[in-house]
Amino acid sequence: MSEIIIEAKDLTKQFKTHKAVDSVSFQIRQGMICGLIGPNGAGKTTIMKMLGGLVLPTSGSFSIFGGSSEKELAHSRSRMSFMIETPYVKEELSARENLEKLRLQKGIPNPRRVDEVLELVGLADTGKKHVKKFSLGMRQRLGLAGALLSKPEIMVLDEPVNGLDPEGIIEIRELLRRFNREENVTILISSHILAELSQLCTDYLFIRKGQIRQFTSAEELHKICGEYYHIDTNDNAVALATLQNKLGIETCDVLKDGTLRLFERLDDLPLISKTLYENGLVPTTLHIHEADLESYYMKLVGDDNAEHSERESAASRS
Amino acid sequence: MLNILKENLRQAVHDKLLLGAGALLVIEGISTVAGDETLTAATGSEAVGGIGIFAGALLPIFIGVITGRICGTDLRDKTANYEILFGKKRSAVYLGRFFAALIVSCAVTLLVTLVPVCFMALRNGWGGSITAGNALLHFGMIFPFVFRLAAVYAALTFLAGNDLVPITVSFVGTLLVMIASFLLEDAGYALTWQTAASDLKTMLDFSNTTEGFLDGQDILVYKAFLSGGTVLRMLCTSFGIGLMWLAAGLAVYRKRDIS
Repeated sequence: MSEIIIEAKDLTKQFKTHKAVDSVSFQIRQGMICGLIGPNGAGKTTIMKMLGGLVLPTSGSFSIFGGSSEKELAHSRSRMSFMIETPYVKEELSARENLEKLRLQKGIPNPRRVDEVLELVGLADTGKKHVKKFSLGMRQRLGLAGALLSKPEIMVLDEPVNGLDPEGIIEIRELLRRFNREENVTILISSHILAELSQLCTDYLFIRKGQIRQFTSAEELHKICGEYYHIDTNDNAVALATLQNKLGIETCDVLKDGTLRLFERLDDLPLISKTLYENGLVPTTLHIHEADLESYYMKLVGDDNAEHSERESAASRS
Repeated sequence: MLNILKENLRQAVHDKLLLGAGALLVIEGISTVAGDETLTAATGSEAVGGIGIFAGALLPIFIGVITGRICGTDLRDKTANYEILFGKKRSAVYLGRFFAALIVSCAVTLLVTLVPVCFMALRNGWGGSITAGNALLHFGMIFPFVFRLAAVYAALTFLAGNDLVPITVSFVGTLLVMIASFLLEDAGYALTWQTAASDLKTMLDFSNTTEGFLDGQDILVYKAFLSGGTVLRMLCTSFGIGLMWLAAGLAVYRKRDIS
């Protein structure tokens, strides 16, 4: 198992009026793309600010690369990059000038790095245009460029695709995937929209009202609420063996009632039916269960009104 | 801390407001000693008196402007937060900016004091109102006050999180001290509450004079003797209080949440 690089233990932040983070504990391992998901006000940004050193914990502790003292954390942050809330940019400067300033502040010796990251995020042709004339999406790209400047080992990104068009979202997603895959960059990325992260993250931290509701891998999450075939035949044990031997199926769960959940070959219904039939099996139930990330998300981190409405609807149906 | 110091010095050199204010101060200083009818024939040593009054009144304000601007601009637009996110310790963020403000304040102080005096010395010679060594001692004693003032304004800037508060305080505070000292003097009292601004004024006040004779001419001689005890007291007060403000400002900044 890969090394733990960020670890939080009972991390709590109490502001004057409310508790923003309540005894949160988690571990992030090297190479993860961890999605921190929750509604607005759940505590996502506060957790990231604590990791960044902008907000001091009320109690609890966290470590980055094994270090938890002020000096060790400062050193660890030099190996990380952060993009939290609105990117901090000088409005009266151009994108290049802002990145040049950041490059000097970070002590990055190579001046060509600015051109490289501008190219990466699609801002190479902004020239001398001042940031105050940038759209929200362009500002987000500039913030991301700043986060990429130092080739970090860990990136902490707070809703980085906020304001981007669908094409931009895809571009940023591919960029982050590439960094994770090729340079083993670990990413902690937050969003209040599960769908934005569902194609990117390897793990998910669901948070609501400052508390962790669930920490699960993408594989587990898709099993719980992803697409699958629900199969019932006259002999499910034989059906399972047939699917494994004939079609090479690896991910297929057997439920308590004996029926099967198949997570592979979702575009191959005719082949599945044919295989079962040719082996003397009669499918009595064979239907696709649509991905229902939203319902699962609402169940985990939805607000009290949503939960109350759900209970009322359930009561009226029964 | 060094990177932060260098970056803020670089910004200060390109800051139009600071450059304009500094240039204005120096030009005003020269015109104070060269433009005054009574000082047209003033020697370099006589100009020391004129510039002393000028600098004593205006330097506290400009140190507030310089410190507020250097420390506060990046706090106000939150780009200073990046330094913490980059892995700089809060003490480096604070002290890097403070020392940049101190260096710029000292540079402005040097220009404001030495340039007009040298200008008059080149024009009319040094004269005999004060020895060059004594003049240098008086001007040199400004720098502990610059440290003290810069430390106060830096603390105010980091507490307020912007540049406007220390700049406002520098104007209002200096004005209030001046008014208080005038009112108290008129009433026959001396201002014994030693603020940095009032001590600075005292150091640069050459109104206590006597008549002398040099090279066949009557001259004005400044009674500007500084005893060792006075120098030591002022050094200890300035650096001591300055360090207290620096430590207090840093302690608060280290413990506060940054939005």
